[in-house]
Amino acid sequence: MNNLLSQALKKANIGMLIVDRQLKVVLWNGWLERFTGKNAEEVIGLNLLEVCPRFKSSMYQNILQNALYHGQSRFCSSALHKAFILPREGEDEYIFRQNMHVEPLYLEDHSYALIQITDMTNTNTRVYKLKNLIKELETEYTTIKKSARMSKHLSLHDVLTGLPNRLAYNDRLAWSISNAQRHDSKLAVMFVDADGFKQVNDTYGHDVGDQVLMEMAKRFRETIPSTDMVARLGGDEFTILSHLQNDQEAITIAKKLDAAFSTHFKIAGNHINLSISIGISLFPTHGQEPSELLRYADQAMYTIKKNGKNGYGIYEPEHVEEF
Amino acid sequence: MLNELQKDLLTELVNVYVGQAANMLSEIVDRHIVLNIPDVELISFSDVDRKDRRYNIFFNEGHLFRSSLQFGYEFQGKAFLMFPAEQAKILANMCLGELTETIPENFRLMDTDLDVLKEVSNVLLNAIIGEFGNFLELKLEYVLPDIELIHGTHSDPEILLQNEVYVLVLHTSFLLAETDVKGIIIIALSMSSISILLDKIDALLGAGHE
Repeated sequence: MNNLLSQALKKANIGMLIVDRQLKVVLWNGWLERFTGKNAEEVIGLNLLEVCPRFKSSMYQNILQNALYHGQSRFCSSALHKAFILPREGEDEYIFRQNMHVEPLYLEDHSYALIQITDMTNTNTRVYKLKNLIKELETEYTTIKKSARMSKHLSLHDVLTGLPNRLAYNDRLAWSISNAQRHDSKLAVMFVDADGFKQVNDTYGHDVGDQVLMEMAKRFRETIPSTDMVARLGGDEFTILSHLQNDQEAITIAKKLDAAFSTHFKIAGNHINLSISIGISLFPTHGQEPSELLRYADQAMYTIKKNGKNGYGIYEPEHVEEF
Repeated sequence: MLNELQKDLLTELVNVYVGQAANMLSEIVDRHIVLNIPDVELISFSDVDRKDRRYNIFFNEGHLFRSSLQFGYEFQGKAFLMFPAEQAKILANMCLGELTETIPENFRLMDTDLDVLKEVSNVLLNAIIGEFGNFLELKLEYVLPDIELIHGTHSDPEILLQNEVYVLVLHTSFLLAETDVKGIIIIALSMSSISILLDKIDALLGAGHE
């Protein structure tokens, strides 16, 4: 039986050593012989601190004392401690990872500490690789999500002014109409065009023209209520979608927009005066379809342009009611 | 079950014990860990108020990390340290120096995380149980903690505690790197061990326990 036991100790796939209260090594098994290159005969009887210098740390001495004097078992993880037993000379000690179990043992009146070492090098490498893979996948996923958000934003917004574009406006208009139908509420669609914008471009150049458009977008945004929407359709054409209590409110908003352009633009040292023409169609008075409402607002805007610009008007089936 | 004086004394004692555990853990992970037990209770599990948020861990559905350590001989019982899985992951990350206060929704507890948590619970439960043994001057035998990940549902808080009658509840908070990880320590004691503990506390308070 003893022979079987000693064979088992030799062949076990974990390191096992036993120390007494003076930390003298009383058992050193085959795994430790293979790993450290030190035979049991040369180690047994020596002090553990000489054989395994890592145990000189007060932390490990405390763990051993607690096992030897207070009967405490203790587990130390490779993730936090790396390794306890160093390999044979010539091998790189830093790549090894070991878990350690310390258990008290008793024989007659003596107590001992059993130290078991499990090699975790492969597990740790696997976990490390897996963690890196997960991290890479997370980064990739965040990038994809970000770029998807960015593409969505770009597909629905005008690059120059940051305002929603025609696509976004049409979408919002269709949604607002169906919502207004359900709640029996009113909307105004406004078509806004800058008067003489071509001249601004011709006189000051396209860079200044672009800055004027950005400034226009800013003034629109600051003038309309936050629940309403302004979009840039292209060039110097803008549309506004307003939620109304009554049809008359559309005039109030148009007046405010008009007033917002009463002060000149100061861009790159130039003072630029710019007025706007606003055509308005109303839901449900003029129609139920988004394209219909946009067309009527556009027609109303052209009537204003034709009649001298710088004003606003509501679409009338026969003629535009001008103000 | 505990009067105010007994509660105060017990709270002070366990805070001294976990303070030692915190020092040990700080040394292992090489960063400052503070452990706090603001509240100690001796309760029968059936008395727990389900609305008391401190006991959410028992009544909320979700994954739990549970470490349990059986101890015996003259002072007998079983100690549990429990965290919601997410808190356990944060604690493991912190110990491994991966300073992330938030973790992804689909996080996993890896082998190394579980080993770290096993060691943390080992240090903490050893400190508490060992010091109780010293305090009571009783011989103790205890083994390494068992750890497991379990899925708690609304219906099985009793199973979690394996129907122990009276339990010492230590509401535990790990403070490290400005993160507060909350867990709970439950010490299920045999009736005779409870009497021994209360007798000793009363003797210390000079009140004598009947």
